[in-house]
Amino acid sequence: MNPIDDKSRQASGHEPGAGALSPRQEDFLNSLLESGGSPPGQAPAPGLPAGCPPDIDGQDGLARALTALSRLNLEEAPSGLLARTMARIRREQAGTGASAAEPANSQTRYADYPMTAARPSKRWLAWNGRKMDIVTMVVAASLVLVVLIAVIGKQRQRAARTLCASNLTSIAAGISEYAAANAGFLPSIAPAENADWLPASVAAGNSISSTASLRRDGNAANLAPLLNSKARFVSWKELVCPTCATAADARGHFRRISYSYIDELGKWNHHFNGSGKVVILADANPLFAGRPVAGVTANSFNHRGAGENILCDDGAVRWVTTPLVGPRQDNIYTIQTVAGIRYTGYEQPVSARDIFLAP
Amino acid sequence: MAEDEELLARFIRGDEAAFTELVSRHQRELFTFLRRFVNDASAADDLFQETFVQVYRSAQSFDKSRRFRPWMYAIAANKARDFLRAAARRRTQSLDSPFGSPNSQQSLDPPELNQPSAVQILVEQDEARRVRQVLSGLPDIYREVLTLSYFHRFAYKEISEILGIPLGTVKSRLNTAMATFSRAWKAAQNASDSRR
Repeated sequence: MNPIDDKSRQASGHEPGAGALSPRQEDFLNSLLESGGSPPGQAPAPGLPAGCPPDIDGQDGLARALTALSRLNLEEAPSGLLARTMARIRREQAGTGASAAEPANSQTRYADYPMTAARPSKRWLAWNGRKMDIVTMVVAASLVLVVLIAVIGKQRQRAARTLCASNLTSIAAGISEYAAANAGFLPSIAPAENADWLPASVAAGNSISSTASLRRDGNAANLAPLLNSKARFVSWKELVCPTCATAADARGHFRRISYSYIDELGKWNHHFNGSGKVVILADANPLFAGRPVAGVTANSFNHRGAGENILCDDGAVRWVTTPLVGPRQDNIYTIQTVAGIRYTGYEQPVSARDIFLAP
Repeated sequence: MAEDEELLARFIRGDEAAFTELVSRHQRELFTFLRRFVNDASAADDLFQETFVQVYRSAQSFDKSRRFRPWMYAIAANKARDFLRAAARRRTQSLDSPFGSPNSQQSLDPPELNQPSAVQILVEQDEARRVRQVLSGLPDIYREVLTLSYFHRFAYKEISEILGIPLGTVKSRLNTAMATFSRAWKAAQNASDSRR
């Protein structure tokens, strides 16, 4: 039905003439009314055709609005618009070197606009925009996360290094007390005959025939006097680096302590409060950790290979980034006469200056 | 007279004059559309040029199975919307074009007083100015759909393609646009009557 048929026009008092809608307005209004409708359940206003847009004050109001709109006719284009447009096109064409047959970046630029066969929809473009935003946010968040993790990781490493140094200071105090009570000697236990310094858990390069008591716990068992004596010079907790197992895990197990002690099976008995040139304890020797190492100069794994805390025979604790210590650059983790990293457990330092921290 | 699509095809084949003819043919209508869209004559002038620069560049990728005019309007509408968004960010856009501004120059042009219909012309110009003012006060989404539908006689489907919105949205927006305009026009008239 034509919403503005003669009947309804007459009913609302419209007569053909000055007050009537023009054919153009009628067309528009018809399209408008066909497209919309009154809100569900709401009866159209008296005199208003069914489906008339809401909130318009009757057909007269609509007619007035359309009449008002019709006041606006096509405007004259500014003079010289055509010439300016063509001049701009020529200017931009000269700038990009493009021609009509080969427009500059036409595919890319045209992709911004609809109406092509391969035109992306507005929703797709909107989603694409949102997707780009999301991707950007995720990338930015990832970068921030990576930086945060790196910073936090470094802070944690630094904190662990400090706590580890604190452990070594405590051990130094314990050893100092022990040495004071034992004529200056470092703690050690009497080795059985043919004892080796390798703990049983460490796979040796060659077969080990010894069944000595030290065999089970390795050289670390020489620290037992610090723990077993009534004086209790150090606690198990202080023998565990914060980066390693918990103190509870190490309790009663010398193999699990995080530090390597100077080899006390050799013929050289070391003293405390000496020259300060002898390293008596350090983070665990990496050569016996059961993990591949880059070479004989590898750092302890306790601090991710960044270095190790060392305790000297004068009680000083230092952080070093290489196992080559002192003016002679002696490797605290190797015996000078052994080439490579394979040990049987029976090797001995060749001199008092050859410091060897055994597991 | 050659169809738009035929002119564009000739231009793609290298006939620059065909393109000039396209610009010439649409300059008045498209300028009016842009002028009403952005309510700024100088901006409309610039956007008109940008639209045809884009048409020039993108002519190769025009889908020949479609009509030229909606495509051109789509480009123009996008340019206009970009302009309005940028203007909103700069907060320099004035939608009501007060008297004395360059935008209202046309309505301020004094009528020829020696003509017999001078008063009538003046009244009509004033009314046209007020209609333009009310129209420019509509939200962008309603103004564009009303302009395309009423002034440029595009079918709903074409408006849907030009604006990149679903057909149903075109219809509902047009309804709301008409209702909003009608209310605003009535209010403007009441205000005008109360001043007299």
